Amino acid sequence: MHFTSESVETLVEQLSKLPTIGRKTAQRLVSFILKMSSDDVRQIADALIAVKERVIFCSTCFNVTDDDPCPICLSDRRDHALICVVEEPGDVVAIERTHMYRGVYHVLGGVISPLDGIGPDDLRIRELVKRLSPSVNGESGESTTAVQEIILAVNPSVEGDTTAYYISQLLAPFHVKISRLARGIPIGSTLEFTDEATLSRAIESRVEL
Amino acid sequence: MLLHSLRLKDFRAHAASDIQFGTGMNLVCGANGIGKTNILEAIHFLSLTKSFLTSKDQYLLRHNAPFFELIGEFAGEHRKQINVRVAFVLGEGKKIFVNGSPVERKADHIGTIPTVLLSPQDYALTAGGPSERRRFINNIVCQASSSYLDDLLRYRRTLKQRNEVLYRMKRFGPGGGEDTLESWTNELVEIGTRIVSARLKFCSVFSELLTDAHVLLGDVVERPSFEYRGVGGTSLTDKPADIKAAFWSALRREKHRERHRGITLVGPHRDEITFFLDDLDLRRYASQGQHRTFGMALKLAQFQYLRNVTDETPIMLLDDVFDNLDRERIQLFIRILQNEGMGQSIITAARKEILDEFVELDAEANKLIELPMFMENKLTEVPVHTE
Ligand SMILES: [Zn+2]
Repeated sequence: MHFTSESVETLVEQLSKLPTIGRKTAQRLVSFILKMSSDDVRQIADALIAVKERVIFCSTCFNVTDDDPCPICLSDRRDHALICVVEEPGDVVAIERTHMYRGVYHVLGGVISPLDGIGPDDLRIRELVKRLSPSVNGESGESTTAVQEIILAVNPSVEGDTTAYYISQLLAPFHVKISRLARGIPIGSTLEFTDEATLSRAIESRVEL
Repeated sequence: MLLHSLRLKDFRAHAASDIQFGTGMNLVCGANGIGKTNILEAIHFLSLTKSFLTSKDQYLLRHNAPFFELIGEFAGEHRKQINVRVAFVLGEGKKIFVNGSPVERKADHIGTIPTVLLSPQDYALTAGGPSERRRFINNIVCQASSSYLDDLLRYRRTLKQRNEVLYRMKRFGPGGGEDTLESWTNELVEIGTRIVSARLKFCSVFSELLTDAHVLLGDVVERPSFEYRGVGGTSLTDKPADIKAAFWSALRREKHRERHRGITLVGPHRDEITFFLDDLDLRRYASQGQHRTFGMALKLAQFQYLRNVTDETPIMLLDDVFDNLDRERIQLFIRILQNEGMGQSIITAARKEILDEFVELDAEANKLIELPMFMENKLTEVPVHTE
C-alpha cells in the first residue's frame, strides 16, 4: 500500500530504515505522529538531530557521552581496576540499572562477525588492550590503579562467544583475571532486554575464563 | 497426544476447512489434488513449525491469498488442552500461538506436539545421501530436547561465520581474518561436540528400538543396524572430552585442505550414518521391499523413542504409504497401528477400499474423512493478529 501524500510516504520509508521497524510498524508510527501536536513532533525531531550533533564517544571507554571523558570514567567512586566489556552503549545502561556494579566500562561497538564484514579492527579491541598497558594509563596522575579484572559482558550469541574468546586470548599475556557473565541470560535474548534480577545474578555468578 | 480438530484457512487447496478427528485411526480419502496431503502438512506444521514438502512457507498459501491460518485443538497426557495456532502473512512471516500466547522461539514449541510422519519420500532416507539421514536424526532429537535445536541453530551460524573467514583467507590471504580463525574454530568445536554427543547418545538407545521394530514388521531373519561416523571416526564414545579431542585432531588433519578450498570440512554437518541389514550396506545392496521395511521400522522406532523421552504418545501421520503395498503388508501395518498404546493415526489414501476391509469404522475412534466434505460448512472469518 502506498500513500497519496508524498511526505507521508517519505517518512514511512525513512522510519523503515530503523532496526526492528517494518513498513507496517512505520505506517503505524506515522499515523500516530500525524495526530501529535506540532510541539511534540518538533521535540522528537530536535532530539534526533541533537543526538547526532552533540553526542560524542568517551576516549577512554567509548561509551556515548556529552563530555569527554564520560562521568563514569571521571568518577573516583568507581573501581578503575575493574573493567566490564560490553557490545553497545545500551548494555551499559542495562548494567547500571542493576546498581550493583561499581567498576568502569569498555564499549566494543559490536562483535566480530565476518558475515557482516566486522573484524577485530572495526571494534575497540586494540583500545581495550591499551587500557591494560600501564604506560598509557597515567593520564589522571599517580593515583591510577592498574587493571586487575576484566568482565566480558558480551551477549551469549555465537558472535559474542567468539569475540569473548578472541579477547581472552589477546589478554592472556597481561595476567589479569578474566571472567565471563554466567549463563542464566536466556539464550537468544540480549543484555539490553534482560530483566534486572537475571542480569544481577549473571554478574554475581560470572565465571573465570 | 490427540488431535481433536483442525481448521485450515487459505492453506494450499483449502479455502476454509474444519475437520474433526477420531481418537484412533483416521482415514482421509478423496481424489488426488483435493488436499489430502495438505491436511498432514498442516498437522506437521503445527507440530514442527514447517511443512515436510517445502521449506518456503509462501508456497503453502492458497492461490492469491495474502495469509494462511491453521488452528489445531490438541489434548495431551499432561496438558489437557493445547490450542496451537499458526498465522502466516506474506511479507511478514509466521507467528505461532499456544493457548493464545505467542511462542518467542521455535525451540520452545517443537516437542510439544510430537508427531511421526511416514511418506513416500522416506525412500530417500535409506536410499539417498547422508544429509537425509542427518535430518532424520536432527528431527527426532529436536523433538526430544530443545537445547539440541538451539545448538543446531548456533552451530549453523558458527559454520557460516567460519566459512566466511576461510573464504576471505582464500581470496585475500591471511589478512582476510586469519587472526580470528582460531576463535571461530573454538566455538565450532564447543557447540559441535555437544551435537555429536547428543547424536551418539541417541544412536545407542535407538538401535535397540530399531531391532524391535524390524521384528514387529515380520522380518526376523535379517538384523538391522547402523553406524554413526562422527567428526571423522566410527569408534567415538559419547564422552565430550573424547569427541572434542577427535574434533580438534580431525581439524588439524584437514587444516591445509580447508584453507585451500575455503570451507569447513570437519564437523557434525558432515557426519555420516550408514544403515546395514546384517552386514550389507542397505543403500547399495537392498531390494525395494527391504528399503520399504527398513523405512517403516525407522519410523516405528522413532515413535517409540519419542514416546519414551517426551512421555507423550506421538501422532502418526501416514501419507499415501499404503497405495503401493501388498495386501499382507497393509494388514500387518494396520494391525501394528491398532496395537495398544499406539495412539492416534491420520492416514491418507486415494481409495478407501485399500483400508476399510481391515479397519472397523465408527464415529468415535476410527473415522472416515472423505474429501471434499467441508465445502458447505463455511467458516466465519477468523481475524489474524500478527503483531
Ligand atoms: Zn568513559
